[in-house]
Amino acid sequence: MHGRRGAELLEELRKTKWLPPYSESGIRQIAAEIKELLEPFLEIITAHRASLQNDPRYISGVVVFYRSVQRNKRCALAYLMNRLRRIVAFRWLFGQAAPARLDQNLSGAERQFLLKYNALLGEYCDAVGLDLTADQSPPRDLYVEVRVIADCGDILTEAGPVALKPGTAHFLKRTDVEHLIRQGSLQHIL
Amino acid sequence: MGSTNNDDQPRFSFGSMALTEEPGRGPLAIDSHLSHLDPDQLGGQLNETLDKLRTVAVNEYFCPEILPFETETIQAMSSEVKQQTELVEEEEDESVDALSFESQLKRMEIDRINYLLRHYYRMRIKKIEGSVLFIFKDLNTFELLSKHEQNFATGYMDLVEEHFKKSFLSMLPKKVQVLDKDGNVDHATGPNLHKFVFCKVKNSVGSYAVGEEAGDETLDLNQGDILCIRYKSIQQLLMKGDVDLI
Repeated sequence: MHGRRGAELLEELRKTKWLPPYSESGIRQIAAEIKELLEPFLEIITAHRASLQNDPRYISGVVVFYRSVQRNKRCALAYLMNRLRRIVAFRWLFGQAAPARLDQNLSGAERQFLLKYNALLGEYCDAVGLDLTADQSPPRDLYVEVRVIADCGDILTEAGPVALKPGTAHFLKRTDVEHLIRQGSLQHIL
Repeated sequence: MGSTNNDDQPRFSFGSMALTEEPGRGPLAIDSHLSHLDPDQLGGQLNETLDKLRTVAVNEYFCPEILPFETETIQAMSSEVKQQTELVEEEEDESVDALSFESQLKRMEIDRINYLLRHYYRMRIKKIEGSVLFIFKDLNTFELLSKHEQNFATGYMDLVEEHFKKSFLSMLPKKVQVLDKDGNVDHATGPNLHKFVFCKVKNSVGSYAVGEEAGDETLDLNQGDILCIRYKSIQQLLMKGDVDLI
């Protein structure tokens, strides 16, 4: 049946919350199927042009083949676009640490996309003058109490560098540690 | 390190503005801290800009399409914030007790205003990313973006196209490589103008046509009315400023 591989790829995406590994083979199969479908289509158009006017068999053949081609194209592009959107969402959530976490599930092209997107976003933030990935929910307190879950090394605060060792608790400025809380390395103690 | 709690000062939670009083110290302690801040100085004009920014940010958040970029409001607010930040930093440099109550209040306010600004920019970026292809098809929408946003949109569009080409379209024969119509469905889908939104009427408009076709249904729109209605019906009013989204 035409378009089955396309549907399978999209199912795979639908079932995963974040990002399944990039299916290079799936995309290639769809492209191959499109090429396969184009052959009878082109044959009808060139060889049987005259019959196209009146013979419903040829007309419906043309329609079926071309629509299948379009459907496959649509599925493949939807797969790619959806992955791009998830990658971008991931980037907004985890900041510059995103590539490391996602790396094994990305294709080469997607890695390049992420790098260039980082640059583009950075450029825009500079132009606007504000870091847009900070403060994604309204700020409640100036200082927050946090417990360290994963080792984050040292961070530089106004009062000097603070070593964030696992298991310790600190009372720090929200702006300094917000990105670490989002990534999950620190836990906000309410 | 980093403690705001000296033994002789009450502790505040800025979010809820709850004041816990220690024995012998009541609101008087706060009064003495604030007494030299002149209420008249605290800018009536600043409040106006802030209100406008809040309205603009909320409108952008609930609106399905991209609204015109509010250059004046944003610029006015940004420069205010910059001034205020410089003032606060100067004060902190001068006084030894950098964590004084006023300094914290001011910093909190700056943070909150920055949050609003960021929220506005973020919303627009998300909308741009969501409908890149459409933006380049429909020139009106492109005009509504600020210069920086236009650069961002162009850059993003290039990235997406390049990615599609590399990952998939290059494997196809030339004739099918174009990104355009796909049967009856356009690749470039615009915003959903039929989404339902809540809105509040700012200026009375009287009888207004809200149906799908002209002359279908009319509603009486008076100031203070709150409606839940299809976005398309009030689109013109929103542009004119007669309604606000809530």
